[in-house]
Amino acid sequence: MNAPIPLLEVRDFGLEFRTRSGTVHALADINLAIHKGETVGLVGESGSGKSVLSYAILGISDRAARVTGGTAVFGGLDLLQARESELADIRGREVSMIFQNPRTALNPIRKIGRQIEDVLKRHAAVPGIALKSRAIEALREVNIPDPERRYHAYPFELSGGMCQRVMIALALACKPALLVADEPTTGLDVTTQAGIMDLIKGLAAAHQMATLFITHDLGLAADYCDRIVVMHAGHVVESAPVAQLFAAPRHPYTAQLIRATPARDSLLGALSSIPGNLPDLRREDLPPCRFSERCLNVTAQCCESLPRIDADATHAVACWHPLLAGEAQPVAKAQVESAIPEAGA
Amino acid sequence: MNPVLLETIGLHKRFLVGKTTKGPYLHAVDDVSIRIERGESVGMVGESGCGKSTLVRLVTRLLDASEGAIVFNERDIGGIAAKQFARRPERAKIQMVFQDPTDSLNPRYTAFDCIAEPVRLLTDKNNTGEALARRVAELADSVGLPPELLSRFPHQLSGGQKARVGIARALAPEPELLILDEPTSALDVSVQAIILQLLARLRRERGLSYLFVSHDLNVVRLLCDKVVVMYLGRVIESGPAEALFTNPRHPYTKALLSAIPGATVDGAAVERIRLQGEVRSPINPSPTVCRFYGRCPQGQGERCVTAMPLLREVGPAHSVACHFD
Repeated sequence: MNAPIPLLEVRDFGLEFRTRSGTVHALADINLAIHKGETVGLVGESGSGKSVLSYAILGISDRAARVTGGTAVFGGLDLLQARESELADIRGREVSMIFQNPRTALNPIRKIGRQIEDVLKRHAAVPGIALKSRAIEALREVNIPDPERRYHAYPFELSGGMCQRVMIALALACKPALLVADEPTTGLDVTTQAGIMDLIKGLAAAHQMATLFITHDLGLAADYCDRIVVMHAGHVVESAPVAQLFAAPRHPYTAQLIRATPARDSLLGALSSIPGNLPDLRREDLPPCRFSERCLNVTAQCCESLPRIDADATHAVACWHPLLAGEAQPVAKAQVESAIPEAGA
Repeated sequence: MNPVLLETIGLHKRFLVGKTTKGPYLHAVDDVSIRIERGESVGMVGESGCGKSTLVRLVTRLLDASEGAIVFNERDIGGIAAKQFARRPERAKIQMVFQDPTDSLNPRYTAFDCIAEPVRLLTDKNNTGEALARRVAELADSVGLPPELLSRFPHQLSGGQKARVGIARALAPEPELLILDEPTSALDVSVQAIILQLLARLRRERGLSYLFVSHDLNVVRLLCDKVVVMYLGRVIESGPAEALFTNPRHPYTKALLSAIPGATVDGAAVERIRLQGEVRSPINPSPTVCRFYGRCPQGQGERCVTAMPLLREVGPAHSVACHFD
C-alpha cells in the first residue's frame, strides 16, 4: 500500500443542484482517496459526474450546487468547509487544474507569459524582476520551442497542443501537490495527445505530484494511470489498480465499458454497447444502485440498498453481485446491433 | 477488382493568404490521388490541419479544386462549379454524415423534418403526403430509430438517437458514396459500438462505399478495408487496412499507430515513437523538401531536403512516400 495518510480523501460526499426543473442529485456517497505521487483515473460516460466532482473539490462549483454531506480532506483541511480565502490560497499553489478546452480557459487578450506571471505573483512570492525569467522557464519545462519568443504570444497564435502546454505550464507553475486534469487531451490529435500525456506523467513523476486524471477514454486511462475509479450516474461504482481493473473488472458496468471500447485487436462483432441510458438524476425515486435499471444481474436486494464503497480498499466495488474473476457476463439481446429489426426484411 | 466509384487525380487546393494573387498560398491539399471502389470503405487519417476536411469538401463539391480532377461514376465532376453542383443529380449520390450530431441537425426541425427534407429535395418521386411519411418511416426503421421518436426535436433525443437521425438523413436520397466525418467522436463509448455496427450493416446491405474520416485509429481499423494516411496535404501512405496496421512503412504512420492509447492493455508493450519538433508551415511549402522533415525520427539526410519523396508501391496495393523505406 501507499503512504498511510492520503493526500486527498473524499468521504461520503454528496452534491446536488437546485434547478427550476427540480433537484439534480449529481453526486452521492462518493468515497475516493488519492495518495502522494499517484495518478488516479476518473472514468465514466458523459453526465456521470466526473467534472462536477473535480470542480467541487476545488470549490469552483456552480452557484446552484449544494453540498449534501461528507468531507474532502486535503492536507488536514476540509475543502468543503474551508473559507473562500483559504481555498483561494490553495488553488493554483497546492491544487491546480487543467481544463478541457485550453482555448477557452486561457485569457484570450493577455500574453501567455503574462498569464503565467499572474499565477507566480499571486502564489509563489517571486520578486518582480525574476518573474519573466521564471515564466520563460515554466514554458521551457513544458517543451515549448523558443520560449522567449512565445512568451509574447497570445493564445490564438498557438495551436491546440501548444495551448494545452501553456495550460499545463500555468497549472504546474507553483509545483502543486495535486493536479486535476479534466480531459486534457480531448480534441487533440493522437500524436499530440501522446506528447501531452507523456509530459504530464513525466512532470508528475519529477515533482512527486499526484494527478486526478478525468477522461472518458479507457485506453488512455489504462496507459497512464496507477489506479482507476469508475463513475456511473454520480456514484463511484468501482475502484481498482489499473491492471486488476482491466484483467478482472468486478462491477458489471465496468465490464461492459471495457467491452464497448475498441482496442487494438477487437472485432466489430465482439463490441457491445451498454443498453439503456443514465437515469434522470432529477428523479425523486432513484434506486439505491443507479445502475440497477441497466443491469442484467439485478435482484431485489439491489433496489433496497447499495454496499458502501471503501476508499482504502485496493479493489472496491459497489455491487451486491460483483463478477468473479474471469466470469463472462451474459450479453443481453438488446446489446447486439443485429437485434434491431432489419429494414424492410 | 470492383469498378471504381470515385477517383481523385492529382487534386490540389491552394488557399490565397496574401493580398494579391501572387500569394503566398496555403497548400491545403497537394497532389492527392485516391480511389474508392464500389462497396469499399476507405479510412482517412491524419492530424488536424493535414487537409482531410478540405479534401472532403472538394469531393462533396462544396469547394472548387485549384487543379486536378474528381471522377465519380466515370464522369468528371471536378469541373462543375461548386455553386452549380447543388442542382446536379450527382449531388444525391454523394452524401455526408457530420461529426457532431447536435450541431448538424436543425434545432427547429423534428427528426421527421430532418429526414424528410433530403427526400423532398433530392429525390423527385414519392415526395408528398403519405408516400413521404412512408419513406421517412422506412429510413428511420433502417437505422433503428423508433417511429415514436420522429416527432421529437433534436434536444429531446439522446446522442445515439441524433447520430441515427444524421445517418438516416444521409441515406435518404439513396447515395452511393457516404462520407463519414468522425461519426462517433461525439458519442459515448456506450453507444459507439452500436453505431459502428449499424454503419457496417448498412454498407453490407446497400452496397455503399464509405470515405471514413477519423482520428480514432481503432475505429478505422474496425470499419475500413483501405486506409489513407495524410500529412500536411499529401498522402504519405495508403494500403489495405490489415497491412497498414500490422506493417506500417512510413515513419509518421508508425508514430501514429504507436500513439494509439490502450496499445499496452493486452500486455504486448508497443515501442512508443514520440514526434519532436513542429509541423512545417503549409504556406508556400518548398516543393523539394519532404513535408515530414524536421519531425521525422529517421529522415535527417540530405535526400529529404533535396527531393520530395513520391508514393511508391511497396506491397500489394500498399504505397508509401518515404526515401528510407
